[in-house]
Amino acid sequence: MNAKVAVIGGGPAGLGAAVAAYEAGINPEDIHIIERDMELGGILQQCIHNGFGQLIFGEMMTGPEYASHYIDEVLKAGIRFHLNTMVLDISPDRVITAVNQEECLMRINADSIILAMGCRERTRYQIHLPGERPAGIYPAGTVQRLINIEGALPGRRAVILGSGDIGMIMARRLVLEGAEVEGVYEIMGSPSGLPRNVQQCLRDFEIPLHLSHTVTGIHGNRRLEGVTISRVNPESLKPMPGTERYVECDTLVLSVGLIPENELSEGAGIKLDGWTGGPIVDEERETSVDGIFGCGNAVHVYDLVDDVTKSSELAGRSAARYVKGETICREHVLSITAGENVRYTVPQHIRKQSDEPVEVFFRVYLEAANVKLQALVAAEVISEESRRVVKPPIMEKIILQGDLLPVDGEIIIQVVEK
Amino acid sequence: MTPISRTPNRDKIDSEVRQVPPDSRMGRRIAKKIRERVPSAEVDVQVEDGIAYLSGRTGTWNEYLGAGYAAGGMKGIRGVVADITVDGMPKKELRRPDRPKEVIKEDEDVIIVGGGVIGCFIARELSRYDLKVTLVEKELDVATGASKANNGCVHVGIDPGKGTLKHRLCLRGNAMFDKVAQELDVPFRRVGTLLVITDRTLPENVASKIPDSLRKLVLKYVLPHMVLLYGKRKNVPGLRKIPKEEVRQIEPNLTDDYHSAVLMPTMGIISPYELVIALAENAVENGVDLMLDTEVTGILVNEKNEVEGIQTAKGIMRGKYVINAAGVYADELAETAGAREFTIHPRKGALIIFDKKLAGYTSHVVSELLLGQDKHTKGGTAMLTTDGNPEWGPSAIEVPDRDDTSVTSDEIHDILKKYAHLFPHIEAGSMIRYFAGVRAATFTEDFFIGASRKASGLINVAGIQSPGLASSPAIAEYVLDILRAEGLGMEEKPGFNPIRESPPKFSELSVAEMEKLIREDTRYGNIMCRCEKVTEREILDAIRAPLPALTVDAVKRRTRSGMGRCQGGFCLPRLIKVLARELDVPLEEVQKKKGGKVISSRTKEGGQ
Ligand SMILES: Cc1cc2nc3c(=O)[nH]c(=O)nc-3n(C[C@H](O)[C@H](O)[C@H](O)COP(=O)(O)OP(=O)(O)OC[C@H]3O[C@@H](n4cnc5c(N)ncnc54)[C@H](O)[C@@H]3O)c2cc1C
Ligand SMILES: Cc1cc2nc3c(=O)[nH]c(=O)nc-3n(C[C@H](O)[C@H](O)[C@H](O)COP(=O)(O)OP(=O)(O)OC[C@H]3O[C@@H](n4cnc5c(N)ncnc54)[C@H](O)[C@@H]3O)c2cc1C
Repeated sequence: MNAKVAVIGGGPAGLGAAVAAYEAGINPEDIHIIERDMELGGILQQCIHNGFGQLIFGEMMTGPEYASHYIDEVLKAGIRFHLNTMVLDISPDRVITAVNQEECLMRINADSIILAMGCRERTRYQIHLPGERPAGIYPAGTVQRLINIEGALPGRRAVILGSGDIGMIMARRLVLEGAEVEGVYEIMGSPSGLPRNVQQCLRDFEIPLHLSHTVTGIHGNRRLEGVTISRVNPESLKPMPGTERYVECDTLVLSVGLIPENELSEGAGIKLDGWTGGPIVDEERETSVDGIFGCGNAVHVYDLVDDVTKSSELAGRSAARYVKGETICREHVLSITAGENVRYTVPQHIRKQSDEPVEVFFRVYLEAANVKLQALVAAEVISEESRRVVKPPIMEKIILQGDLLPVDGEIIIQVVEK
Repeated sequence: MTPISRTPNRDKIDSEVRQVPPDSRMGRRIAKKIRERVPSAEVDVQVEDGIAYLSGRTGTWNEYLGAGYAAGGMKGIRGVVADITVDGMPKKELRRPDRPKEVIKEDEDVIIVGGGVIGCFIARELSRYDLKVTLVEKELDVATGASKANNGCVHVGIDPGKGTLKHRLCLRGNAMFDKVAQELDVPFRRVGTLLVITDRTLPENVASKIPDSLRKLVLKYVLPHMVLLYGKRKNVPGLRKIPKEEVRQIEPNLTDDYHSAVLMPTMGIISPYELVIALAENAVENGVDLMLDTEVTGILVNEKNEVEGIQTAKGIMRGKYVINAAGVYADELAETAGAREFTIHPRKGALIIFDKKLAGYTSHVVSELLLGQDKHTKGGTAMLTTDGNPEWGPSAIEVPDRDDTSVTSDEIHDILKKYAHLFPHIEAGSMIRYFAGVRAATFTEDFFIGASRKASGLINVAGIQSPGLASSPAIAEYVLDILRAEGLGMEEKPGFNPIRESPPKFSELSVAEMEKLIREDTRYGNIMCRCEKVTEREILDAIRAPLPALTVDAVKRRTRSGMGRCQGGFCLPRLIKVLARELDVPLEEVQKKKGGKVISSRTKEGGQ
């Protein structure tokens, strides 16, 4: 089978990219979306809460509502898609190997590929959570799937570790389902999820949020019986002896971070960024391997699906341009470097010749008030914006005007006090 | 691994032939030794037939252990029963609720208690003969105790003292593995041990006394030579000193910061739980009755102290011989027959596993020679599993609770630190899992295998800590000899089939083979575990096998579903649906393991 644009993953990123490639003039028959789940929509299908689409549609939608908008576009356009199909391998010369029950084994020779595999959740082992290994310890996304898709309530009394968005949303969901949530515990001094979720999911439901606390023991070796909670030193983040408290619970929900899913990318020889966990991409979202693009949570973890959609539309347009042979590379690559109080940037460099503005996404290390976001070239500010406050859970963005970009060298992104 | 250390009872067997002091004198000597080692303990000692019975109290668990070891280290003592209370720790009352008196089995030849590697190996070997054999296991699967939570090393036999059962059975067991692994289709590879001698090999106090130049000489030439001699003395074949250039080729990620290295080629690695499952399946196919979810609450003996059967949570089973392979609970089980000859004290060991994407990072069992360490808690290696994941550990920590399989922050940290000496560049973030198992240690530190001298028909196969897995084929063989000596007639069964085939593993196949399988059965095209690429068909194979997988963990041990980097986050909701459907139970009854339900109920809208 041949494809001009093959999209791996049918979540909001994959859908947005496919539709954008179509709108950029690729024949819908030549666009293939490959999705391992039984339906399109990705993680949105299990996010039945309101909170999607404010930026793009100007209204709050549920996850499935938001997804169905793009699924309709895919159907209307006649873009091809394969469900229940798992991609096993992508080769550097863009041959995709996938399996499903109908075709058995699919091989797709693709002119371009868009990676949109989303992300997976961190497990207790990645945060070195000590103790026993009983039933009843689940990542928040798994709890969400159990409750919203399988109609299964994981337990009766839960402790939530980590104040990521999914964790807070699941705290509320558990309460609505009649379970008790003893509290949300966060090792850092501030919540790691969006402020609106702290308000709507925790405060409005009187669920206590304990900052600078973590779980230091897991008890029960068949079903979870309880956890030990300790206060941590705010600087070293180490548990403080003498502050231990036993909390009885049968469920521990982990909301301790997401990791872009990139085993396939690694297999294709794509270079990953140690900070984002996703591929290193240029301003058109092309990875280090020719003709392979990336978008959505597979590149870096987004807070808002609207930004996912925008990034994926960019990747879709870029893939179309690539297939049509319209891409013009710059003579010199411009690197984008994370400067003061900036953890990482996406894109990591600029490689194409274009006058279009470049949006650089980034996250800060530390919360700060009254700051300027700046882009510097050779110590000169080429772009600047003010913010009343910046926080690690909120993704930031600065726009670089195409005509101001230098011929070569480095662009530094930084966040400094006004 | 520290070859140059002596286990306390290395000369025990020899000493039994020598002159042994009479019981009362022995008792006084042990009491004196305990007073020396643990002055605050109040312990009374009786010796009878080579068994030391300690009673009294101590202040701490460590003192309790000290007293036990003082007795166990004495020449001529073959078992230690420690009836010592520890202040602040209530003595556990053996709970014996009334059990059904209904007789559910009439006249078994052999009843085996415990479905670990030992019980299952014995069952499989007995299934060669025309005998009625039942294996009874309290959990919902075999391999749920130490046999699932170990390194999977088929040790070469250099560690145990000469003259111990451990030494003899490990040497013999090691040599038996190729055949059994092949017959049972279990992944097994002789990868070899690489023992490296580093700046940490000599203990501080020794190293500081030797001048620099001499120390280098010792580390570079003398110690490897001594290891070779030591190997020879222990009858371990094939040891050789291996030059650095060669090490660089065969183990390129190993640090260069060492003085010399010795290769021990007979070290093997095996998937321990797959071995146990294969043994159990093969035993079942050859006629052994395997009863899961059946706790044995007592051994029944008559007034002549002859074994008559067992009491279980489901009823009484009558039989002539009872094999006690109950792991950490073997002493409590023997006690129910009034046959106390040893006490088990649990020793926990934690291991960490790295992402399979690092397959090939390590290709040997790599150990650092560390002299002068506590002989009971030393050891540990940086190795690989048969699936290729790097695996580091174990730790060794004495714990009072036999079911304590927790892993502490210190253990994780210490293991990561210890083996980073050997592999400094591994990415700690690629650790995907840790777990712990409990070793069933006795105070004599040797296997305790033999016909009980207190209850005839009871065969104890106890104290099987490391190298218990490596020795398991030889232990089974030895136990059959004991049964023969105890009068059990064995006649070979013509239909015995030693071969067991494991179902295909999709992820290990070539693309062409994958395609072929999916054409045969489309359920191979439905991937349920994304990390390990386990298909629906493989899950069904596990649930419908001769020894069916009844829990999430049982499916995991057979298929690897949930063993990858997301640790089941993806496949768990999918897997429990299949289990519920196949076992024909409601979703809320599906268990991770016995007593560990995955969900508590349906949601308000769920359940339709
Ligand atoms: C619990 C939760 C709550 C959220 N709440 C909000 C909110 O209130 N508001 C908001 O704006 N955003 C929210 N988000 C964020 C938003 O949903 C995500 O950012 C967005 O879904 C990411 O889209 P994606 O397409 O990159 O990834 P996904 O939605 O994860 O889609 C990836 C797709 O790729 C498929 N795939 C992966 N690997 C393969 C393979 N090998 N073969 C075939 N298919 C594959 C997967 O099955 C999946 O369908 C929330 C996210 C979660 C998890
Ligand atoms: C961390 C660690 C690492 C190790 N590494 C190695 C190694 O690399 N190589 C090696 O050779 N050895 C190793 N060992 C030792 C090895 O694991 C053991 O020697 C071996 O598994 C013991 O097997 P077993 O069958 O005696 O015990 P177990 O596997 O514990 O089996 C005992 C069984 O009896 C059952 N049972 C108990 N009481 C009852 C009852 N009342 N009724 C019914 N059933 C009951 C239990 O449920 C259990 O299934 C290691 C051990 C540990 C802990």
